[in-house]
Amino acid sequence: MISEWLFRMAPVAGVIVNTLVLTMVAHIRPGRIARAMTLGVICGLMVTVVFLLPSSVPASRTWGDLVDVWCLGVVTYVSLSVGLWSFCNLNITSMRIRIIQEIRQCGGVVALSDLQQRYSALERLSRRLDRLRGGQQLAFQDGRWRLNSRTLLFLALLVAGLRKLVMPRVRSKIC
Amino acid sequence: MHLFVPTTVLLAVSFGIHLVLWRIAIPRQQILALVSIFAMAPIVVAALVISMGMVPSTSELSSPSIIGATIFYCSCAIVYFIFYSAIESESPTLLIISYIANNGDSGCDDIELRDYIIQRDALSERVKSLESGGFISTSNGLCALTSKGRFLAGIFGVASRLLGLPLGG
Repeated sequence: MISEWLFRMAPVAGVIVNTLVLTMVAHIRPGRIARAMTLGVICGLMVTVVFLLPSSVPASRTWGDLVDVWCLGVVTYVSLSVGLWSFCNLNITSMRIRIIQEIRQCGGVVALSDLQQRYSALERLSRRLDRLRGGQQLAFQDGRWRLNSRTLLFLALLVAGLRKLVMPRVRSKIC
Repeated sequence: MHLFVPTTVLLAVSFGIHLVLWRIAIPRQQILALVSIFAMAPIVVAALVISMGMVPSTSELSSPSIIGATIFYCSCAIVYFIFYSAIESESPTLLIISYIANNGDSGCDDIELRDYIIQRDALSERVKSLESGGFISTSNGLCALTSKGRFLAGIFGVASRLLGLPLGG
């Protein structure tokens, strides 16, 4: 029974370690959030695997049991890590979070025109271009922006496809 | 008892219900409706399974198994909710990528990109979305945080202090 608790809780232990490592590294090396997130994910995965290992020991388990326990454990850890990664990413990239933080900084109320000045379309564009160039997704050569990697294009196509599936009557504006 | 396949089927059932309902009408508070569907579907399916007498024995269905399956179901649902926020309103980053990709190898210059992005009023769209979600209220050209919005701003404020992040966006 104890070992069953151990491997059922493996992804939770993994994501706790992921969060702790991420927070520690982000404090020790400020401004290197991507590295902190990667290190957190790796450490969390290692803890998940260590917690899942006892499930492989009892000889009474069939291959089906093992595949079930490992699939459930690893997929849950990956999903929880994606959730944590997205939460951190929202702090960095989300327009909605920036809007509510701007309103909070203004004492809870702000004029829409002030909000548009404090967080202009140009700032939004330049922040994104900086991030995309920094992440090697875009290249700026001879005064022109070009794709440097197809990873985000694949994501854009995936989101556009899902939008067509989920909201067929809403015209997709992506690609 | 094997849990991975039945829980994945349950996720597929929830996704199917969501697809059918969205084809009938897209709700005003989309994320709230989505959370409700994914929360209600397992309860309805469990009730159906029990009413059909297909209940697994208690030795097979232990507390750790139920909790493990619940965490798996919830974490996968959360990942879909995150994806859904990108489906619901266009991501400016993905718009930039798509626009540059559509221009092929020649790419595009700063002015073309700026004109394309600025003509889309993404800020107003987000303000409307925050308002319909009950995070802010607007009147006479003023935006005010609601208590729900204050709570959300507080959570992200703590997280950005913990992780040493500057104001994002």
